[in-house]
Amino acid sequence: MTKRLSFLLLDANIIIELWRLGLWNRLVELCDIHVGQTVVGEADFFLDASGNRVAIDLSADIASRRIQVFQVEFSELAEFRSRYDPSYLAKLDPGETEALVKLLTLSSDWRLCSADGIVFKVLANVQRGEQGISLEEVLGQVGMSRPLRKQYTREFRTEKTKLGAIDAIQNRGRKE
Amino acid sequence: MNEKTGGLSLTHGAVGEMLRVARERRGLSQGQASAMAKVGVSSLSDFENGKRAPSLDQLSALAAAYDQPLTFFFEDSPTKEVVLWRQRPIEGADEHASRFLKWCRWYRDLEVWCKDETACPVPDLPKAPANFQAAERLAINIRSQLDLGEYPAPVLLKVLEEKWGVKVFHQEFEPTGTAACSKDASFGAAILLNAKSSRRRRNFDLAHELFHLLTWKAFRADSPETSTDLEEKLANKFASVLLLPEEKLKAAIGDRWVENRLPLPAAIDLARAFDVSVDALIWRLHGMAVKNDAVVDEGRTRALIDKARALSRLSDESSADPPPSRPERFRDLAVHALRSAEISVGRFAEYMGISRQAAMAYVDEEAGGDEAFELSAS
Repeated sequence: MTKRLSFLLLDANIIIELWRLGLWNRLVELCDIHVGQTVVGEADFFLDASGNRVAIDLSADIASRRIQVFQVEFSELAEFRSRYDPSYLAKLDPGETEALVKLLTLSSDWRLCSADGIVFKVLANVQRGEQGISLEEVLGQVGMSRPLRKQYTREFRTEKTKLGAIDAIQNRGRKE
Repeated sequence: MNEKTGGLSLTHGAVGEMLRVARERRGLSQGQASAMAKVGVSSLSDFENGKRAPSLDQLSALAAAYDQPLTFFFEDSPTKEVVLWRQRPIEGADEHASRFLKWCRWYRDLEVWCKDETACPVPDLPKAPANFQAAERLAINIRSQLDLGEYPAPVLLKVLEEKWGVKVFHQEFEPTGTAACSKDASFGAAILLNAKSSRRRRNFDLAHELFHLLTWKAFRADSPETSTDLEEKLANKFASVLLLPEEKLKAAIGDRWVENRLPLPAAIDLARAFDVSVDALIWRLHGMAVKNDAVVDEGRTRALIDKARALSRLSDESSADPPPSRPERFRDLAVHALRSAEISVGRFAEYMGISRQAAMAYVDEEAGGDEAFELSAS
């Protein structure tokens, strides 16, 4: 079956929210999902409506290759650091760094889905703003639309992307 | 702190060397590091020997185990930050020190990212006080300079944070250990207090550590990580005089003397008023008596302190609420950095010492917090 949405990188917050909403399995069927090795460890549990911890186990999806796991090599990290603001390594989660570094080595068809303002900000700053995508937009593209909290919306992504664009204009965050 | 000119110039050997330096600074064997970071011992050995480089997920895990940022592994010759312990904990001292330094670096990063750096750092005295009289003069001078008033202890922490940007953290030391401090060109001056000590005890420790920060250059040049007995006694003298102004203390004692003696209940009452431990209060009175050439027996003073401690045990509730590990300003800066998309949710969680899920819940709650308090022009 052809997936409706290909080349999709997810960060940990999105995986946690998808599990919380009970949408993970359906989305995996509809999308070609890639996650960083670090993200697999970061998305460890979610809190249900009663506040109880529910473990997130991606091992079956990984084993069956329903989702793809990638690693970022040290040389790729070093190149990222040499080109952009070194403080990004301190400001971003390792999982987000992993996804951003990966995205920069891939074609413009790829999308990075996040609920973290800094991810959209950095993407815009490195001239890849159009490759950021919100969970609201992902769900909309595969016919699973529903109301979401602000940080998962297109509005949030657009707002933070604009901040990154301003940084780029003011020459902040880039070495070249 | 030098940095390599560009990531591309890094060799596996250079990264391996930094991995080894970070592990040794954290006081871990390869086996311990391997278990903490969940990286195989043979892989770790290969990385440190420059045979191959770690992937990002492996490097992140090792960085977390070593309490170092990823950027550490790109540095040429990172400076070694020094932690001076007043009384080193018997267990886990390296771990406490490493976490303390990590928090100091985080605090400094947040200040930079939020553009909220302290303009006036803790001064460096060119010369250390040579004797008790000089330590006393220094304390009087600092009390006046910081405008600490007649009851300095309750305000000292706030004043040090606000006026001199001192970074004050708390951790629980077991089974022993009092306080520590550090001063570094990168993050400035910082103090680590024992959250298990009572607030009055911590007040004294804070003043004691302040002495070390003021005299850092003078004392630490020769002895970076250890202090002499004299230095510790001078620090105690400084703390005692700083927190218990002689004139105010005499006035507070007033007519409480009974046949030229101060009854223990009165001493306990005064300790509460000045927000210091009864030990500190009695030692201060002892010091004032010595200065006035009175004949005082140190053994008797110690015996009195034991009695006073027993008497005040029930009334001193100042240890009831342990302080938060991170200072309020640190937490405010982290919130500000998150709101302005300067840090990720995961980093915010790490900085605040909460789970990623708790941080995500916080983001949910504060998503509607854009409203501003408006002052009417009329």
